[in-house]
Amino acid sequence: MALADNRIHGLLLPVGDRFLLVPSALVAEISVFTTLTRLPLAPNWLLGVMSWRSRPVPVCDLARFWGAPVVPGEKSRVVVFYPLPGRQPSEFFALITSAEPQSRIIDTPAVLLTDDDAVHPYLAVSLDLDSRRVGIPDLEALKDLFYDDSAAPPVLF
Amino acid sequence: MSSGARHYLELKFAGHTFLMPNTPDVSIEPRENMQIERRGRAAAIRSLQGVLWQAYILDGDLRPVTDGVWTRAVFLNARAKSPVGLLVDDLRLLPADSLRIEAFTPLGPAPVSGQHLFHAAAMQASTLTLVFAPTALTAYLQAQEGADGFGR
Repeated sequence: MALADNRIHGLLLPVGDRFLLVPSALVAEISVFTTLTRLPLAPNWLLGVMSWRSRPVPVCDLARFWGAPVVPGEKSRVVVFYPLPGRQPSEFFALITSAEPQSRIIDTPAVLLTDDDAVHPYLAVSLDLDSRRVGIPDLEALKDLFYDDSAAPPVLF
Repeated sequence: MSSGARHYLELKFAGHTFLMPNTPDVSIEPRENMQIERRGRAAAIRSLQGVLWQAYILDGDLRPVTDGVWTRAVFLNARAKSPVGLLVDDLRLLPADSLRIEAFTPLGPAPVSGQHLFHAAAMQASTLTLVFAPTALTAYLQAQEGADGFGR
């Protein structure tokens, strides 16, 4: 996360019945929910692929891992992330949120960590923030979830 | 992103449209050249010099189904010993320079060992059309051979 004098610039993403806190620097853009092209034989957390800046970008619903899925609606947003560390520069991905993400600057000494979600496979840590339970995604675990290392990289003919 | 393919096949079946690079080992047969004969999950066959080419009807989820509207069979691996076909309702040949093809990596486990079924998308203003990876589609269809029954 963007650290300056123990402050973190982050985005709170409403995802189902909880919030995710992600570093603002990981996010390329927040856009309204748009038309998705469903990907046959994909897992249910992969909602489809959207056209973003003339690129195909997979859109995921992580809420399914801890409760009811996000129901796309007028308030829904699609948060486009830069490629995860170690991935190809073109591998943007996106998460659907239940509502508009909120910008936060967090004083790290004031954050109270909880261990409620310590065993959740896709959350690195949980914390109490403004009386909300907030999870910080485990990017390495997401990378393992997202990318099948046995699959050959895409090659155009 | 540039692509080496000169043409793409636009495949329509089960109410969906997909694209696939038109490679030299693709062979297209009209329905009248096919025998409507169910073998395992295959819906039609073509017998050529004693070799049976099996072809499949897929639904929108790419699951083999028993019935569907089709007018042609698109055989992949046609130059090899084991061609395998996809039955389509309609198809068109599109010049590559009329399309904007962008590679992407589908998320999640690959449906075929070591290969994702799609490797790119043709981008339009706000929508896109998925592009099959021919080798993965071939492997996926070949994996249906020898399987009995439906509703997997």
